[in-house]
Amino acid sequence: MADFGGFPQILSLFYATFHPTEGTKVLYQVPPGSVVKSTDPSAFNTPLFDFESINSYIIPKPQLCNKLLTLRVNNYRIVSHPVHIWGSSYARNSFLFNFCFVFHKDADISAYNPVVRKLSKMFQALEEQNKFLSSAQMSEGLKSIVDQVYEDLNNYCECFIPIDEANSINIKLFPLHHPPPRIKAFHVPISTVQLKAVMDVNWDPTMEKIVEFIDGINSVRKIAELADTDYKLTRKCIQHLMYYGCVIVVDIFQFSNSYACTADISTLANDRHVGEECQSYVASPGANKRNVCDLLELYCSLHNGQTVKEWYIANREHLRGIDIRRFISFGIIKGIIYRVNVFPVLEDINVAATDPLDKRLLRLTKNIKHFDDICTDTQTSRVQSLQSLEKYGEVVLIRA
Amino acid sequence: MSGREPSGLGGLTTHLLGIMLVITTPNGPQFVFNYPQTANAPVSRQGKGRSVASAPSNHLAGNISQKRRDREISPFPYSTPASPALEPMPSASSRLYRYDSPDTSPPSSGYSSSSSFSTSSDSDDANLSYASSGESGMTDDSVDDDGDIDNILDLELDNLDPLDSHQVGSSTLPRVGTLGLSQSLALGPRSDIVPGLGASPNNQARHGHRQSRRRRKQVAGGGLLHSSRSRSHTPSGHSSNARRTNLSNSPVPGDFPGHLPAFTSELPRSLASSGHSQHRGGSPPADSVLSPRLAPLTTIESSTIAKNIMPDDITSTLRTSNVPISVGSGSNARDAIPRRMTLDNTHSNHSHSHKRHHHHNRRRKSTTDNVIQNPNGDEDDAGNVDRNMHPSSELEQQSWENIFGYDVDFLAALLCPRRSMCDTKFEFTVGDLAFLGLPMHERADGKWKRGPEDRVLKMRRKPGGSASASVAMKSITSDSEFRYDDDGDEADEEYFDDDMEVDGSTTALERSLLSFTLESSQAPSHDIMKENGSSHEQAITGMTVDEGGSNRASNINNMLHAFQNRSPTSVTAAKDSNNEVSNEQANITDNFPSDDQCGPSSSVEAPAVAGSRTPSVMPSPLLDASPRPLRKQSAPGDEKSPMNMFHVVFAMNPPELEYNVRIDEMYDYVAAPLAECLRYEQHKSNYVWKQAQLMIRLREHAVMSGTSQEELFAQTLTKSSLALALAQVFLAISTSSIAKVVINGITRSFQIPIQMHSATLPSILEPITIPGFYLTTEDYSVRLGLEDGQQNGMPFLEHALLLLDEADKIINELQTDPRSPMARFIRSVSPTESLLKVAANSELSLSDAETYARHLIYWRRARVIIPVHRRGIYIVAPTAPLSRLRTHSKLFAKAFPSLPSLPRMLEEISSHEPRPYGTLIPSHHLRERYLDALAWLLRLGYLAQLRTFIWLRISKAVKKSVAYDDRLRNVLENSRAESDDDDDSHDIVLSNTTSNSRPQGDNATLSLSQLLAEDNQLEDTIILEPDRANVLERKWMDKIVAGQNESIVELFWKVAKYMNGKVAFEDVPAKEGIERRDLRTLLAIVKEHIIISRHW
Repeated sequence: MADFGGFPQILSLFYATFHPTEGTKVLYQVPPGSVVKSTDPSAFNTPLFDFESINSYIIPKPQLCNKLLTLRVNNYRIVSHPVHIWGSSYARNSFLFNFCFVFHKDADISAYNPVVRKLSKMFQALEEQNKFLSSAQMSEGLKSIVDQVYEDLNNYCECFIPIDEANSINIKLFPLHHPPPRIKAFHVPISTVQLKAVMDVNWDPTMEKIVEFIDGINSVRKIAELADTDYKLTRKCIQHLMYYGCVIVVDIFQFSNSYACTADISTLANDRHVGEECQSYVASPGANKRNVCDLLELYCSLHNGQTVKEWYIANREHLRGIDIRRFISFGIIKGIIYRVNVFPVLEDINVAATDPLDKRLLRLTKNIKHFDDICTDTQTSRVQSLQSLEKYGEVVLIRA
Repeated sequence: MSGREPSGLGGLTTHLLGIMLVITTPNGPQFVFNYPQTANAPVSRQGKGRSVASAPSNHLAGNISQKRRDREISPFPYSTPASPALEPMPSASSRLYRYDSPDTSPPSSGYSSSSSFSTSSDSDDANLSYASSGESGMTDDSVDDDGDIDNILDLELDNLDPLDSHQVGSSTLPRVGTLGLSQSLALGPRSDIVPGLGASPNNQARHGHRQSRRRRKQVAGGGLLHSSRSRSHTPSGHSSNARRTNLSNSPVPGDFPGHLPAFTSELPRSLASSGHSQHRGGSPPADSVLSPRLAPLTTIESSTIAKNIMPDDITSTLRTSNVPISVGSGSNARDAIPRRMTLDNTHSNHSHSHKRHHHHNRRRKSTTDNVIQNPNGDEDDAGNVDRNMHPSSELEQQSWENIFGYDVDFLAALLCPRRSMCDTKFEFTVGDLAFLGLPMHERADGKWKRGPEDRVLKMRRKPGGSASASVAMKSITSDSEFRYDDDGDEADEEYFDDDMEVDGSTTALERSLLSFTLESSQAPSHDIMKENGSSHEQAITGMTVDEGGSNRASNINNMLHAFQNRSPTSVTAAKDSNNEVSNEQANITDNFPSDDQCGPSSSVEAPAVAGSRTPSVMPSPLLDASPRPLRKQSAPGDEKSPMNMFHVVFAMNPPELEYNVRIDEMYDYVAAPLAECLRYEQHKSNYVWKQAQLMIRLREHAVMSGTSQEELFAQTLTKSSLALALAQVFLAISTSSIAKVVINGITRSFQIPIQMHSATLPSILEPITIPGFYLTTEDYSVRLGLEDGQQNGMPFLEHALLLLDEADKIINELQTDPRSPMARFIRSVSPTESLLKVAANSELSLSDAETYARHLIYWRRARVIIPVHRRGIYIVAPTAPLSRLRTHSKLFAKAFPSLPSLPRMLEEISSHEPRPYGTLIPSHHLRERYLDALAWLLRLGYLAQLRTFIWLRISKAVKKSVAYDDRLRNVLENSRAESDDDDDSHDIVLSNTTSNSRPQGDNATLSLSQLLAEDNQLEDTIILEPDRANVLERKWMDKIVAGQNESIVELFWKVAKYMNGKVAFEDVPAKEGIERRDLRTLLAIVKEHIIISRHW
């Protein structure tokens, strides 16, 4: 599958209409011969697929018009948005046309869906305005438009084609990302780009305020506090930044945390690039890069039931020239270690509190939340919340 | 993008909205069946393109979410509804965890267009509430309540001759139940029918009917929103629609409408049959746009209605042949009649062949039941007419004909592609709604066998992947294995051979298993069931007295489950559709015992209940045996079906970003195998056509008689094994469980494989939602040899099997005879013992043990683990289902009263540096309990085993030392003779010492300073592939154990190949046959040179 800039290639682009006497007809196709036989010397010898067998899906019944249709034919997928226009001026009181994009069957066509829709809506408008499509059998202008859309989208992922004074085709392909996950108060965003550098005046005011506090240390809640912004808006901003890949999210780093390695620890050993990245990322300013084996051994020495503080004390000798925080966050980001969270569990759940803060605390505990969650929610320290909890019975700590 | 549903369900949905069956006959495309019934409901009202896809999905999601909530009760990821205590679906729970499917509901529109901050992420739970409304969808109480239930006659929906219609003067419109319909299947034109044949069914039906009536009354309170007759779906919301889904799955006793008209005119049977035979064989007029459209009832009033009374029946059983014609206008009539004729053609063919036999049976079982029928039929008729003229039937029609917002005819045309697009993947998307399937076209010679020209069209299947292979895994309980894999056309051809016996392709082991199961079903407790017609309908008996209707939601589960647990006896009894037809008829009086005991136990008891209620219906045990010769008479190839294409269409709404993945997996694992399987059955015995015909008839009949949609659904599911199978496939697949269906008498299973484990820890942003999910680097699917469908040796015998449920429950669920070797195996499986030991203990051969193990794994009843041992080190898994800790605590306390509470246990395990589990065990006599608890915790995914992975680290010192040795040797050699030999090893040094680049030069000429510089450049490295170590690396490794005694050196070289960070050292002793202690000694010796990492 040929990709360009992450977008699949358009294998063919064709324009079909319903002819009052001849039925469904392909009026124009690029490249020539890709859909129906063509006399063009550069045409394909055989079309990509048998158009006759699918023409009822290209110009479908009116129920399916003005909807985005995709159809798989052999190894190809045809994406189209047929348009049906009623009008007494037409031969059968209606005009049916469709601009169809052909892709490889495995192509991820999500980015094209809005484009196909937009293009056909635009042609619909042009047709309704001045019979742009139906006035001539196939105007040269239209041919060149189709050609250019095909070429430009494949080569530049965007196209701008002026049609007349009032209209122009203005299309750009945007990648469709997965929706960002839900951000929690205890998540710590780490920026992957210089946010300040990409920011401009049009940015959201909340975003402007919070950007300077995104430093890989502050949690979302803390950022909202520091920037004096609404927490929910802050969270949404972070979510937007995540959607565009400008930030990644880790947990709160504290020396009382525990970490342990995951099965992905082997990437550090196997993937030289990860190793090199790690070497330069975790080195303290001015310190020499450490050997990957040392780093691997250090990561392997992290385990459950041991705080970072204890670990540091045990490995102080080996940790020279290593920024602990960066060491841990690198491991978290790469997924080679994970945070061992501590979940306080009250043995007796039938306790009730009167104090609103305690009430909240109990509610969180009953729902089995970890300390990060509890502390950012109640905005108390871990020790405090543990003490408050102990008022209500024995607290069991589960580390997972 | 638009239409993406906020999926609080995350990866658990398969985005399956419905399954449809369409066929083409020479008259054009026909819509046959769709499931679920409610797929159409909301859409016809909403109409907007976008909601077309999202609306049904929402209420489906509601259903599923309800199940998920149910499931919350269950501590076991795989617990099935068989246990009354644990309601939930077998494995609705077990959906492949998808990292790419976000659980949270994103601001879907906001994110696709750059930077609008208008959206919210706080609506995650929005769609979880649909199923919870108290409103009942059960509305059509009028159908029965004003009728006289004693008016049940056998109606015969049979050949409609145009001639008949002229003779029928009456405008009475009989309400025809399913009884008449299915009976018509066996009643041919010949008229040797004895009086009283219909009596016993009626008797029983009356029972059912009373039940249904009672129940309806209870239900009716909830359904006030709907007018009594209106089947229209109020726009009031999804809740009612979600209800309907449930309803449609419950075999409502209303199968028996109980309104049978008096006949009003008579027509000699011969007339009907002669008219019929005129058309037989001749190709029907080619009406291109014939539709399966069901004419609105109001138009029928003016139309003609045919009723045939068979002369023989007059004495007591009043058989009214009542065939609706969809005649709305003159032109319609012309279209409709010939179409009916074609439908009837083949139908009467086979009904002929069964008639005698069938009646024979019926006579035997019902001689005492000459019930007086229809004492006041006339009144009833009048009532019926009135109702049928009621304009609300228009509404009913409307909802009939809309599926996903499209007219059924339109859909049928759309989904019946041209021939050139058949026998290959069909995938057509309208907006967010995708239609997927594998349309099957008959060959030019009229056969359905996979022809040579089709061979090129091999199923597109993903190479490799644990998932794909499991499809090819054998289901032991099926008596014949439909093999859907790529192992060559030869096999295919052989398999699809006409004369193949049912179990021709089964292995000896499978045959023995089959015989076990058969044996078990012949045990006394099963006898009744077997006698009782033993078709699928039996299983329905397991679930109907649903008092109060409050349990209706669970009926999906029940039904699905009951059918999954169907005894194999029914399988053999219902060998082909001919036989089935007669079975259906024999079973016309489906009885409905209670459903509170669903599952295997009920499949034994239920028939007894039924029997006690209607003892007279008990057919003789001979019933099963006798149809067979008849079946032979109607050899498969003899009848040519007018159907030339069929297409099982899966309607889905996959999210845009997962589109390809979801579509492909559905196609590869369900749609294509199912279609292939149906083609085989069609080829073998014209099965699809017969079933399609049956469904079309039922529907037309229902329209004529004004049967409600719900009833029709229940009827169709009851009468048609294919409809039932499709429904079961839908229910199972849409809840990510395994569909086990009986298609034409052969058990098939379909599933989209799920992966319950992962080596990679999901991000903190994506909470695990799959119960029982566990972490491991061990990919057992590879070890299981699933990759190529081959059983390569005994890949996991040194491992243990962890049952995911109680042994006895599994034995029950798998329908295994408690005395069979399989059951013995299941009982002796222990998480502490390797399969080798288990096999020895249960006196099974290793290959049998392995087969059983595979079987259990395939059916998601077990997983492979390293045998639990007190030496094993376990941690509380980061994926532990702590959100359900409260529930689990109670269960844990119940199961292990002598142990600390679950939170305490977890605290104990997690509060220290990971250490052997044995350290937790306070005293020797508690060891067993603690190990049981360990297995329990593993089963629920609370724990992950930490295993040891080792890399060889080559230190600078070792390298220096080796380099020194080399140089020394070089110098010696060079002094002896100028030789290039050494260049080889020199090159290796160059290319293999990582990050070492030094100018090419002759070793001998290196100056001392160069050597020193070189030494300084040496770095510690890891040998990534010790098993493929080059010369230099081997020298380094030699150096590591230099000076150790011989046994240590030997041991080191034995295990060195595992020091690649990929193999758990816990496995090594077993693999190499070495002592654990020796290995420990070795590791202690070389500990300077190894990096130990512990993870799962």
